[in-house]
Amino acid sequence: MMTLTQAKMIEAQPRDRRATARQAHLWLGLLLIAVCAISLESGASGVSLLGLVTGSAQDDTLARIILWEVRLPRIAMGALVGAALAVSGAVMQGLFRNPLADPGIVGVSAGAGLGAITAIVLGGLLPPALQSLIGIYTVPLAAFVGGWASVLLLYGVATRGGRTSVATMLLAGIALGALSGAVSGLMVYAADDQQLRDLTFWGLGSLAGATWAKLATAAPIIGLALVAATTLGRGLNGLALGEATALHLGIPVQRTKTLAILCVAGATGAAVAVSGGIGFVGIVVPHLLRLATGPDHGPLLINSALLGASLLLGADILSRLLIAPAELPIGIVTAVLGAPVFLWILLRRRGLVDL
Amino acid sequence: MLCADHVSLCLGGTAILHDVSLSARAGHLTAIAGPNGSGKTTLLRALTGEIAAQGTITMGGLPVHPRHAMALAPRRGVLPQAARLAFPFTVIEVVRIGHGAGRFAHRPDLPLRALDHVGLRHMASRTYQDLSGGEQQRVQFARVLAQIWEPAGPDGPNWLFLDEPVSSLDIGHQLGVMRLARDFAARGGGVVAVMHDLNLTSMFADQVVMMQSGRVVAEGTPETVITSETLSAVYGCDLAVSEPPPGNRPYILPQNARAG
Repeated sequence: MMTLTQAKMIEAQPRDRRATARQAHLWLGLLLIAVCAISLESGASGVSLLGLVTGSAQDDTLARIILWEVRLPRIAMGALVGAALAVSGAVMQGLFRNPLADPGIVGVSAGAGLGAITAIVLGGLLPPALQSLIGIYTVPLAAFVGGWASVLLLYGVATRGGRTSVATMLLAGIALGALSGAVSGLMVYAADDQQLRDLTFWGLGSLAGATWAKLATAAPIIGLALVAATTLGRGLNGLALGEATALHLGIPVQRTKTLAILCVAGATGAAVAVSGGIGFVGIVVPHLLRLATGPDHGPLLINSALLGASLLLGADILSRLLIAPAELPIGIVTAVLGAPVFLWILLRRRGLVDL
Repeated sequence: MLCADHVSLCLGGTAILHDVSLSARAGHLTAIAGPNGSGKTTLLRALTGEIAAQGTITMGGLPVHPRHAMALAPRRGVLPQAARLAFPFTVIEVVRIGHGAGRFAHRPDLPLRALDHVGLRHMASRTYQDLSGGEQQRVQFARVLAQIWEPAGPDGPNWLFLDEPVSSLDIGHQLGVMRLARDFAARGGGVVAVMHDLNLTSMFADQVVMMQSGRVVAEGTPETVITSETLSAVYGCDLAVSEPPPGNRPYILPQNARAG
């Protein structure tokens, strides 16, 4: 039988998840490269980079176009959007101190979508000087503003005295989503034929429309948000102990919160602007990573970006292959994977969540 | 020296603190006592700079205000009353968050040593949320210790602010935590603790600040403040100091515990 002293000696060096979390950067990086390679090689056309390189492809020019103009931008977009959604989820959960906060669930994606739709329908009403100034960035910027207003509103409603009420957050999210949906519907009603075409393409919620030009509008915003998010690790760890304790730990609480909200708005807004609403990536990825390597936000945010990119690319491969040559909307795939995880967290934490 | 000068504070339109002035010395354990709703915790929150108050508060010459929180962090640690944690951090990870915010972040041995002090080293890998309330309170105390560690630094004494540090502890750990606090003060640090337990207060405090309805009604050594007259007036019931209860009911006096 083990004596108490022996038990204490075993615990003398406690399990250290920091090393595991850092090693995960490497493994998840390799996973992302692998998924990118698989994604590049798979598709309805049967074209492959391998075939192009070895010269066994029947039509070099077509293969080149498919790889370079269809699959590569799609992979880049998928990776970027996946990273953006997963990091948005992780940052929001840190900010709201709750693992159920996800841009899709609490209406931030809907708010960003409203911004995007408004820009498509009413963008022509902007002063011409402003139009030429922001040009192709109009839709992602409007989505950013919509997302930002949503997070701000949600945070104001659901957080009192540094504590977020989960019930208020989820219910306010429902209200926010419904309101954004209603106003979006109104916009669709007011749209003309050309705008309706744009809206339909936008609303597909898919990576199918990825082009280098589209990517160029989203990449700078998402890139900036991701880089800024990696600086939030210490601040979000402090906030996990409560706002007052974070302050006593010398964390600039207000600056951390503001930056977190801007990151979520930027990443979610730009992702929604180019790919429509893809749900559940933001809740599944951080949750799995917390189970595997712990909740320390430093490594968590980087790992979320890597795993989010891989997960969305994986879902995209599935969406292309399951009913090939037709394509399943990717939102369906992520929802089928993600909704059970959401329910699982909710049920497992039933005692802890004050619903 | 911690000085509060004519501090008043309103929360939600209600005045919680009325013109409170007090000073606490480094090397002493200062207890803030008083009935429920007398403003003890609010006073502590003002003294730590968590909320802005009217009047002036200084800690070792530094102005205390929410906007100076970053400058204060290396010099004072704050133990909150109840701490709920949002994510499944392990015990050692919680202590490390405090450790990383202090001056001794370069010494990797401190988090485990802080857990040693509160007798929880063997639980270092456990998930914080799975611990009992009392154990969680001790983990938080270890986190504060790991943040501050030394009672005095190059620019003067460091401070611990404890909001009811023993409220959910058994008697053994109550004494353990109070001894740690007194030891910190004895080695030159400053300790300010909100206390509910008058026996522990009279045992460990060098100075007692008695609050009632947002005002300081008595201040001084435990002998001068914890008297039958003051307690009866402040707590609104007829209390007598050092009278055994009637009947043959057992009663426990922590004063009789031997040092261990």
